[in-house]
Amino acid sequence: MSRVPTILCIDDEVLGLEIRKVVLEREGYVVHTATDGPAGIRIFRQQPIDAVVLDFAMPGMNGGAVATALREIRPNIPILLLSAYLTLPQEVQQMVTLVANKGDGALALLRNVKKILEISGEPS
Amino acid sequence: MTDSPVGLHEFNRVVRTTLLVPVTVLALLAGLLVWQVEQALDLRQHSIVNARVSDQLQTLEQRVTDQETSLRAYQLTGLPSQLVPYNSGAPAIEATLAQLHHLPAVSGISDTHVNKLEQDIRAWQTWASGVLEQPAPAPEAVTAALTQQGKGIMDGVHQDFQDALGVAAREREGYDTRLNQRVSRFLQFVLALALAAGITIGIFASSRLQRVSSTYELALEELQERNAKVTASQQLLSTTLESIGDAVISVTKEGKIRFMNAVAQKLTGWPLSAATGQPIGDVLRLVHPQTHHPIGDVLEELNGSSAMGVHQEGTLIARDGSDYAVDANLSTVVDADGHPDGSVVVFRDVTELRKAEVTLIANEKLAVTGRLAASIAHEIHNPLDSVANLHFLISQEADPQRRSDYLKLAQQELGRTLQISRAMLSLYRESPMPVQVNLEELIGSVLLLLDRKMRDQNIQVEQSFTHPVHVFGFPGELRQVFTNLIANAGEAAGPNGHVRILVRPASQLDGRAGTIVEIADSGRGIAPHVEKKLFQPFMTTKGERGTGLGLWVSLGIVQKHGGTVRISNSTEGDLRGAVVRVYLPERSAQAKAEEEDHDAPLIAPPFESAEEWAFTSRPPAVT
Repeated sequence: MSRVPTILCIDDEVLGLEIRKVVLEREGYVVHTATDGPAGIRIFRQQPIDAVVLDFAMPGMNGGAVATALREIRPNIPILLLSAYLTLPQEVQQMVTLVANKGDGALALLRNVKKILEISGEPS
Repeated sequence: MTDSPVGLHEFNRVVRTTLLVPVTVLALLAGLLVWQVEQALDLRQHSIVNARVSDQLQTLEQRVTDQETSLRAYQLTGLPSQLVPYNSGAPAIEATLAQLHHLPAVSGISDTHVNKLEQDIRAWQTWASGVLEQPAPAPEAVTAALTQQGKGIMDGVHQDFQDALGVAAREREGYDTRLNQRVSRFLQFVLALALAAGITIGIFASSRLQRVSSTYELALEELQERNAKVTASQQLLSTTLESIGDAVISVTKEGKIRFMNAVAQKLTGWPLSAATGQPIGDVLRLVHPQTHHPIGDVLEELNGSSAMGVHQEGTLIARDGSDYAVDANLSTVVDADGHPDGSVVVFRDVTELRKAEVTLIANEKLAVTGRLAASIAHEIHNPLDSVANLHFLISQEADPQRRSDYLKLAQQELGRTLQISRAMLSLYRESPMPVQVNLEELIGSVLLLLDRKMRDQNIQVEQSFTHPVHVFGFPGELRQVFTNLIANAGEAAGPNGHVRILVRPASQLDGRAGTIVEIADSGRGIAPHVEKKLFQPFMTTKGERGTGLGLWVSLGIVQKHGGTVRISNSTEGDLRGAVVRVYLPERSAQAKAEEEDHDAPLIAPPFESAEEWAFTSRPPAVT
């Protein structure tokens, strides 16, 4: 990978989103943020995004719907779905690259982001 | 004819005719007898009169003969003394002769006979006078010719007497013959008539009696048949009463036990033999489930109420001291004329049902948490996620200012987590005594838990408190009620919907101290087929996602607080969905405790509008 990966974070929790951005930037990623699904999709179309960190529970358009829309634009985009719920519907899990629980900590987040980037990077 | 049944009226008629016919016949016979006897007496009278005339004639003949004898003796002796009977007999002869002219016709002696007799007697008297006018002859001078002359006249007189007596005798004989004939004919007639009457009366009475007897037989058969039916019906009733699962006690007007079925005997612990005649209050001892105060005479409740019956819940204390939770129904029994004739108490052991209800209520509490679980998990995990990330940043950060900022943020997020967990725990932590509850705070904490759920659906929640309202009650239970009702409203409103919570004092409307919490939503309202069942347990419109116990338990809790729940469809304003109104009295719990002491009725709710549905089934007794 020649350049620094660009990550798009989508979450309606503004504070959590900002903290997550700082954590990822500290690791060296370029981070874009959006507080709802439609805004995130808009940025996704405009910017060269390498991976998406997506919250599941959001008003209006939930993580599953957002993931479906993103995959329609780029079917191979790696998506990490964060959820506070213990279980998610099967079809939502199939829509994303990896599912992780919120509250696992920053190290787990960084590990998961790295993992999805590697999965998508392998074939190319 | 004998087969046709005889009614009571007909029976009376038959008895009357059966009596009347013989009486009439006998009366006729008696009349006939009297007439015949009178006829016979007439004949007898004639015969007697006739005999008396014959006597008169014979007496007259004797006197005339005496005169003749006297005259003969004078002629023979010449002694004037011999003429004494002749002279003394003359007046009597004259009197008798005068009488003879007035003889009754029945004597049979005609005037011709009398005239001839008188004529001949006069002729002899004339001759006798002629003899006496001449000087008394010497006895030896009386010639045979002279004597013969007198005798000749006298023979004529005797002949006349013989003729008259003969006529009278013949006449009398005729009378006697006719009397005899009449008596004998009459006897035959009476005999025949008596025989005929006897036979007629016998046949008539027998036919009548036969008819009555056959009717009696029919009636007897019918009676036996009816008796058998009544016995069978009684048997059926008794079997039914003994087989049903409910306890049944029948009570007299005076409140004494008349009958108890097997279940009633088992539950009360009183055998029927011992219970019969006992006052109902001694056998059916009901006490209040919580306070254990006697409910009083169950029948007093019934007095003055309609025959529809009274429902009474309570705890039954059996004879041996064991207790059962029971539901009792009391109703008045009326006789055929519609007058009260005692009462019937039907009750059942609902101990198991009450236990199941307690379990259901506990389950519902869990279900409310389950309903919130996703929301709570989210609410707790989000701040925790931030805290975990902040912890990483702090550990990596060298700049003190930034570390301080991160620490503040972490503190803030931890505070949020605590708030959520406290709100959740307060659903469970319940104070043992009712306390002062700030409804604004309470509803605020409920909304905190529901916030995520609402935001996920993009539902707008609007709150309006007209002024700070406090009620007296159990905060955990009230939280459960409002969690249920607001979550329902959110689900009814659906994505992008609208929920409005309005809290206002009830006194503004109706002068009653208390609070009304109104929860309106922008959903489609309540469907007509659901409205009647809203408060029934296990009624749900949410399929597998709902327990169907939410409203049922909520109503139980609100009623425990002395309040009510009403649900209607809004017809005005911008929210045209369902409107739930919860009325809570100001000091309900305390007031209710006092009410229970006095067995006072529940406070009537301050709702009166038509478009509202109240509960249609018994809410659970939340304790």
